[in-house]
Order: sequence, then structure tokens, then C-alpha cells
Amino acid sequence: MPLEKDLELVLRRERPPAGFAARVMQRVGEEERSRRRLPSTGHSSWWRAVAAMLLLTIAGGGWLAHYEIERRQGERARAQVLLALHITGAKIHAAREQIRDLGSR
Amino acid sequence: MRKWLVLTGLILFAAAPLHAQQRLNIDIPGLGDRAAETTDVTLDGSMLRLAAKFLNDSDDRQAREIIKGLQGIYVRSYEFDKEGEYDRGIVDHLRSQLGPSWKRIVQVKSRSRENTEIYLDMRGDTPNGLLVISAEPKELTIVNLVGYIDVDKLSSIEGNFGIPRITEKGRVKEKDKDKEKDKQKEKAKDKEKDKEKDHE
Repeated sequence: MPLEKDLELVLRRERPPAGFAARVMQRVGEEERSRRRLPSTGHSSWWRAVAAMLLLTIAGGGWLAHYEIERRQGERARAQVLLALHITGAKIHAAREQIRDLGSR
Repeated sequence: MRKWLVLTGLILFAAAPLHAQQRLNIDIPGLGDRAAETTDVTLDGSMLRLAAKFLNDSDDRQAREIIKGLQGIYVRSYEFDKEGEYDRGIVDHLRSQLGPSWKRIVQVKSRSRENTEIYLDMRGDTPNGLLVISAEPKELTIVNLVGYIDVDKLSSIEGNFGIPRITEKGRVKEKDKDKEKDKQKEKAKDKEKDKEKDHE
């Protein structure tokens, strides 16, 4: 029967080409060596944690510095507002005093 | 389309002065070098908003109320060792900057004491700027407040910020004020009657 003959033809045993086994073993060895070179996932997460901590520290320090600068500027501005209002009020008061003195004559 | 653009531009151009908050040029070059003591306060809108965040004490409440509507506070004060060390013409220069919306509300002149002038920038019924010029023999002080001026709150500044109140002795009582008003009205009526008689 032609089907049986076709099956025999397709499924017959064939010898591998020369050096096939050696090439396969070589590739296995290379893969094992490359796997050993790559760092393990445990080490990379530790470095990431350290990097994150450093970034947080820098950001936090920057925020604190900014807050301190703003606080000093704000205190200075407050003092200047009070000084300006004192001067303004003093001059208005002096004018009122003079008007009062003129009126009382 | 072009007409609409031109019209819009004209309206915006005309309206711009109404919105412009006028900061006056109160810097006088060279005066600081001659002065024995100089006080310079320059606070624009952003600095005022920052200062307001720090005016938290109960004593600062009035200051916070006063600066609420302000866009800027500018003060220049110069103290000199001797009289006549600054040119009184500076005051004329300051006055020349004032547009028609500025109204003088106080002018006090004295040979021995300070000459004080107080101006308000009136936009309708709302004061939008204040200028105080105080010229003493040995001191020149210029104050320019830009923005909405709450005159009532500014008047009540006495008793705060180290400023004494006008004493009871100097203060005219409400009853006496009314009496004086009535007296003035009667005087005015008498004058009118005299004029009518003169015409007859």
C-alpha cells in the first residue's frame, strides 16, 4: 500500500550530520556559562532599594532646603510689611497731629 | 473679521489703564549716598502674599487685613545729618507723576515741622493707591501703596505697630462735632442773608 511505504520513508531512522553532538554539547556549555555570569534577582533589588533611598534622601533634603529658604524669606517679608505699616501709620499720625494742633489754635 | 479684531484691540487698549495698578517711581538716584540712614522697603504682590502667610500672630491680624487687597508696598525713607541736604524739588518730581485720578486728601505745611502730603488714587469710589510724602528738614519719607486701600483699616492703624493714638485731649467728641457743624451752617446762612441784603 502506498501509504505504508510513505510512512516507512518518512519515519525511517536517519543518522545526524557529522559533529552534531559536539555542537549541541558546546551550546549547552555556553548557555550554562552565560547563566552563571548574570546577577541573581536578589542582588538587583538590593541596588534598586539603595538607589531609591538615595533619591528620596536627595529629594527630601532639597525640599527641606527650599522650605527653610521660603521660611526665611517669609519672615523677612513679614518684618518689612510691619516696618512699612509702622512708617505709613507714623506719617499719617503725624499729619493728623499737625491738623489737630492747627485746629486747636 | 478685521473690523472685529480692530474693535477688540481698541477696547482692550482703552481698558488697559483702568486695570493698571500704578506703581510710582519713588527711587531718587544719589539720595541714599548722601543720607545718614536709609530705609528701603520693596514688596510686590508675590512677596506680600508670602508675608501674609507669616502674619499669623493675633497682633499681625490687622496688618494681614490691610495688605489683603494690596499689590505692592514701596517705602523710601532717608535721614540726613544736617538740614538742607536734599532738594525739596524732589517732591515736585513725585507730584508730576500723579495722573488725574490721584486726589490730594491731606496737605500739611510747616516751617519747623514736616510737610506732609497724602494722595489717593481714586478709581470711581475705590481708592486704588496711596502716596504719602513727608518732607522734614532732615528726613524725607515716601510711601507708595499699590492696590485696594482700605481707608478705615488704615486709619485705625493708630494704637498698633508702635504708633500712638491721638489723645482724648486732642480728639473732638462726637457731640461737639455736631455742634460745630451746626455753628458752621448758621454762619453760612448768615452770610447768604448778608449777601442778599447787599444785593437789595
